[in-house]
Amino acid sequence: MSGDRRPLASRRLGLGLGLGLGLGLLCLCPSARADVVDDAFARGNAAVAAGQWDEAATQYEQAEALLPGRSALLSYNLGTAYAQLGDYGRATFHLRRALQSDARPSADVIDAAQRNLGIVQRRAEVAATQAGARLGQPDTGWGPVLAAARGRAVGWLALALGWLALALWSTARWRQRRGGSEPERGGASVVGSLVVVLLALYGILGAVHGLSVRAEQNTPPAIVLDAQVAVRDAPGAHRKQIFTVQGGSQVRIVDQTRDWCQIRLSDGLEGWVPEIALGQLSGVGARRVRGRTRAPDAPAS
Amino acid sequence: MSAGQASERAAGESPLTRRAITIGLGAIATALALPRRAVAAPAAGGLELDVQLERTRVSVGEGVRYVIEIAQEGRGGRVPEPELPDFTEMGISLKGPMTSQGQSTSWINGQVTRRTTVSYAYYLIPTKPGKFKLPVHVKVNGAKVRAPRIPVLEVIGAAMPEEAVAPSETARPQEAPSDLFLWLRVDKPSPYVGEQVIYAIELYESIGRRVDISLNEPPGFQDFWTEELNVTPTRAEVIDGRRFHVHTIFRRALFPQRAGELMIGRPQADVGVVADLFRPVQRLRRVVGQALKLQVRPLPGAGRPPGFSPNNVGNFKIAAEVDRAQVKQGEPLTLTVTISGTGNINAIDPGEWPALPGMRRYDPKVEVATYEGERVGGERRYEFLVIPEQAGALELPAHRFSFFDPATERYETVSTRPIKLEVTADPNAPQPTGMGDAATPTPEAAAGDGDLFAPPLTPASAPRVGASRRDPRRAFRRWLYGMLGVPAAFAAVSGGRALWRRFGPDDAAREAAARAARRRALTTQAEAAVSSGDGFYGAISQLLQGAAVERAGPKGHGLPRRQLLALLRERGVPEDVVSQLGALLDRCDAARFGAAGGERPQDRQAVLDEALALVRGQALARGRERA
Repeated sequence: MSGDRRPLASRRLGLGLGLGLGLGLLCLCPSARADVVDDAFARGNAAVAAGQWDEAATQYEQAEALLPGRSALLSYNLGTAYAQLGDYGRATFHLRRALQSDARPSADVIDAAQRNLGIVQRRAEVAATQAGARLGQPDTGWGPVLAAARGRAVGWLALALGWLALALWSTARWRQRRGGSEPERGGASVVGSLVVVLLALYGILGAVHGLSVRAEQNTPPAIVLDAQVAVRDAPGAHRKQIFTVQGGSQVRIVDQTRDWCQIRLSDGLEGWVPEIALGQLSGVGARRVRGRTRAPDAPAS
Repeated sequence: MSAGQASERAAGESPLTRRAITIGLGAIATALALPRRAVAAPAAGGLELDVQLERTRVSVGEGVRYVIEIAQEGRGGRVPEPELPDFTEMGISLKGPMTSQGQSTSWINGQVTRRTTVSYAYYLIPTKPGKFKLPVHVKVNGAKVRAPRIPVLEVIGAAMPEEAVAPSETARPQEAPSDLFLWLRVDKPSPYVGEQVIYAIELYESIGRRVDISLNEPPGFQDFWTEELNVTPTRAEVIDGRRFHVHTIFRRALFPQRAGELMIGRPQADVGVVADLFRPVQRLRRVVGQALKLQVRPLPGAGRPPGFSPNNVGNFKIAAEVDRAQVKQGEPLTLTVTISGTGNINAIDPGEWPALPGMRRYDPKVEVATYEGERVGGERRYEFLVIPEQAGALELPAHRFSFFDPATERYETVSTRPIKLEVTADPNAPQPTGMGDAATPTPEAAAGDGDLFAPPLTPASAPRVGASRRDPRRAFRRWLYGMLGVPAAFAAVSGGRALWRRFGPDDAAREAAARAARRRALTTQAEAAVSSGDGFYGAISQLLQGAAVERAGPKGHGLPRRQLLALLRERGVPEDVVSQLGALLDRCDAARFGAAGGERPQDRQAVLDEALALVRGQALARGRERA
């Protein structure tokens, strides 16, 4: 009898130990990863204090590479370090990422990032004018409206309004079938008007949200990272250069081959640039950004 | 000498004379058959030289084909090149050669002999009249091998005079010197310095065949700034009753750079005449135009603005614009000054730019867009980067541009309009540098020299949010399905209601269903009460009564039992079924209202079975179906 119990007990003990070890590792891993991120972040802060912007950018890049999620503060610091180095393309990219709602920036980060982004954009404008390069501006006019329409809340609101309208209509019909009293019939007409309004809102909000999200997914926004990038008439370094685009320009990616992206500027100009010269702000490739591998004042590609 | 000897001699001399005559005639015929062909002499090493001249008499400028053929027998070895006479001294220009080479192998008496033939084809174009010998030789091992006969070319006609002449006063030739000639057109024989002059070379031809024209030597334009212009299409003109095709082969806008007598060199054009439509062998002809001299007048001194550039000759206008008139302090704007018009747009001097008080201006980016129609003109744009350093109302002053208009022979001055700027104060803007005009600013210097950036935020740890695991495309698809679900649900509900209305049960069906349900309930109640007997007969009575009323139809409702049974008989229910029904109902009444103490469950089960058999039987069931 005791001989039967011993294997069972040892099996339970092994199972318990395994579970405990697994849970321990599970609890330990994020903290260890967080420590590594914080260490790199602290080294970047120390470099900032010493005025070593190059080292700060390197450390912040490391921290961002190790970070599994998003940090608006880290993106802001990285963008500011690049701005101090005169790398306005990467500065624009990281400052814009710091302002994205997904990163949940604090009010301080929003204020500081908007200020630095304004200065970076002004300097990029001057550099573009001097170099005779095209500067793609962020979306203006309907752009902010469409950006707001892309918000998840608008989508959910449209969805809820539609189903609410359906529920109200079904209830009204059911009561009508049951044969309501005179006041109930008067209420039914009010409900009918409400259903129409809700359906109209559902249609308008849903269409705007859907079209704007679809446009965002089909032509995702990106930032030109390098100082000046030659835009060609077809994918390939041997193809004819049609114009130059300034680093920090916001463009839309309208087509893509293996290593080249077809971009569209805000004024409608289109051309092909190497994929590596772009930083995608949203979509699947949003994190695929090449770090700074050369001096910011390197010649245009 | 005897008469017989004399006759013998005469008889003996006669065949000799015939032979001599035959040989002589044959030689003459051979010489006539090959008049221009120098028969190659056998030379050392098996080398043969053959020279062919297409024609021996040509006009000045008329090309003649000159072919040298060198044949060499033997195995391998390079065929030597021919050595030509000094054609330049003879005034003959040479085009070519086009070379071709052929090889042949023959087997004679068991020996293989290889023969290599190289041909050199030239075009000789004489430029002056005369008779010219054209000797050719090749050198083999230091020894000259000459062609057996030296071809002679006779050139007739007159050479084009070397000296320059004044441009013709007429726009078109009054007489045709030949069927092919050049006509040089100059629209202004005595222009001002810097004034645009259109110079065109036109080829007149009445050959009647397709021609291939190439400008062999463009004229020289010393002391002119030139801009190429588009040529006009071919037209037709009649001169001296002959129809000529006029090909404009060259057009240029000339801008004289100094006053005095300026020369334009002689142009030369080669014209290939296609001999046959199906055998496109060309005959080459060269035509030479005359050198021209223009009397260029200096610009008048009266009314000349100070610092005037002689390149500003023509007719121009000027405009200025800014990309935005409302800016923040320290924010750059673009000032574009555009000078447009007809004249030497590539060389105009805009003059000194006015000072911009309260603003910094950088070197302009200059773009020129020329158009080349009848005359040269276009736009010259100067794009300045201007940075307001002061807040408030600023003004970009007018810029004055002076030019000499040859049409009115006066100096004109045009100016831009002043542009007002509204500059709003910006506390972050850099302090005024007082630089005024700057050359090559860095973006940092242009946008502000101070460190304006907000500093990084350096807490111990960077706040973060977890990685989003949602795929935006998938999330959007789900949202889309949810959205599409609303109209789909509307459609489903509406459609379902419509279908129910169309195909759903009517009142009779609903009534029949209710009766069947009631019957099932009563049967269940009776079955449950078999053992206890509580309510058993009541349920059986209701079950039977209901079946009878249902069978009897609407008239059966509310009838007493006997009348109901009579109605059933009228409805065709068999008498035995009616009697059994009446008996069962009576028994139920007796059991319900009379003394039923002796009832056993077996008895009640028997009653139930009998009642159910009656209710489910065909006699009552048919009626129910009809009902």
